[in-house]
Amino acid sequence: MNPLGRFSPATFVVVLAVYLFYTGSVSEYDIVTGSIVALIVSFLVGHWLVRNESKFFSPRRWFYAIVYGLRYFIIEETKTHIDVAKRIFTLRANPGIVRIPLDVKSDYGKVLVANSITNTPGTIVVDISDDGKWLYVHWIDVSTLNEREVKENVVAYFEDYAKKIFD
Amino acid sequence: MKRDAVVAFSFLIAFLFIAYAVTARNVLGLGGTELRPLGEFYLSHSFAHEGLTSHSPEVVTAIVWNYRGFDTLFETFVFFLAIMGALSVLRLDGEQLRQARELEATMPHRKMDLIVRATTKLVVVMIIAISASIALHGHLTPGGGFQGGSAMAVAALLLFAAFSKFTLERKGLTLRHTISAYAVGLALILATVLAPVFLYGGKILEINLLPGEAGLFNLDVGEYTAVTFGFLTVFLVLGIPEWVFKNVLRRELND
Repeated sequence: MNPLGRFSPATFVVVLAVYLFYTGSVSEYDIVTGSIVALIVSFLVGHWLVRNESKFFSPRRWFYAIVYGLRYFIIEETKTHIDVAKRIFTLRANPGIVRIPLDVKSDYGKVLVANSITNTPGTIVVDISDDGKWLYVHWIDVSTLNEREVKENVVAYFEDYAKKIFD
Repeated sequence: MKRDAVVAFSFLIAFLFIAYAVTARNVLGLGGTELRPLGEFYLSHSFAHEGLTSHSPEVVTAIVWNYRGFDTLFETFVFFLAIMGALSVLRLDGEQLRQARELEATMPHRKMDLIVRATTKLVVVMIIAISASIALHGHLTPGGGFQGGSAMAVAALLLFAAFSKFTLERKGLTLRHTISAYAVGLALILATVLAPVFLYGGKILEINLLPGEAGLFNLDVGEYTAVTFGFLTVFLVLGIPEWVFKNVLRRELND
C-alpha cells in the first residue's frame, strides 16, 4: 500500500491530544516531539484505527457525542444508581441474562453501546455474538421477556446516539 | 485461607516495624533534613551553566545517566546480554521457523470479541503516546527511557492478549524488525557515550560537553527504543508455545 495513503489525520489528532494532556504543558518542545510521535503512530497504525477520516472531523458527530456524554453521565447514571441503591435495601431483584438485537453498524458504535450498558449499574454485557448483531446482557431485574420492551429498558437511547455518532 | 491471613499480617507487622525503625528511630541515618555534601553537589551542579553539569533540571536523570553513567551503561549491556542469551538459546533457523509457523497455524484460533479488540486498539494508541511523553521528558521531569520503554512493552503485551502473536507477525512486527530497532537504540546510546571522546576530546560519557541537553535527551531516547524493542524481542521469542518449540527441535534431533 502507498505509505502516504496510510496517513491518518484523525489518529494524529488523538495521539497529539493524549500526549499533550498527559505531559500537562504546551511548550514548543512538547508540540514538536508530540507531533513527531503522532506522525509515526498515525503512519504505522492509523489505517487500522480509523477507517473513515471524514467521520472524525464532522462537527455534527462531535456535537452528538458531547450531548450524549452529558445526558448519559448526568441523568442516566444518576437514575440507575438510585434504582440499584433502592434494590440493595429492599432486596428486590430478579436477575437473568437477556439477548438484545443491535442495529448499529460500526464497531466503535457497538463498543459505545456495550460499554454504556456495562457502565450503568444493574446491567452488564456478558458477551457479543461473533457476527456482532446480538448482545447478551445480565440484567438485575428481568421484568419482561418481550424483545422490544427489554431493549427499551436496557439499551434506552444509547443506540440512537451511537448511530448518530459513529454510523 | 488462614495461612494467607497469617502471611499477610506478618508482612504488615514487618513493614510497620521497618518503617518505624527507619523514620522515627533513624536506624539507617536517613532521617533529618540537613543537606549532605554529595546531595548539595548534585542539586547545585545538575542544572548549572559551567563545571560538571548535565544541563538538566531533572536531578534524578542527571544522576542516573551522567554522574553514575557507567553503571547505567553497563546495566544496558547486561540487558543486551540477557536478550542475546535468550535469542541464542531459543532461536529457530529459517526452516525451523517455517515449521513452527505451520504448527502454530494448526492451533484453534478464537478471536477475542470485537468489544475487546476495538477498545484495545484505542488504549494501545494512548499508551504509546503516554510512554513517548514519559521517555521524551526524561531529561526534564521524573521518568526516562527505561520507564517509557516499560510502559510501551505493556502496550505490546495488550496487543498479544487481544489479538495474537500470529496477527502481529502478519502485520509486520517480526523478530527481524524488532532486533533491528533494538540495535538502533543501542547504537544511539553508544554514539552519545562516545561522541565527547571523538568530537570534543573529552572522556567517555562526559556528555556535558555536548550542546545543551542533547546528551541526556539522546540517552533517554536510545534507552526508550532499546527497552521497548528489547522487551518486544523477548515476548516474540517466548510467544512461541512450548509444545511447538519442542516439536520442532525434536524433529531436528530425529533427522
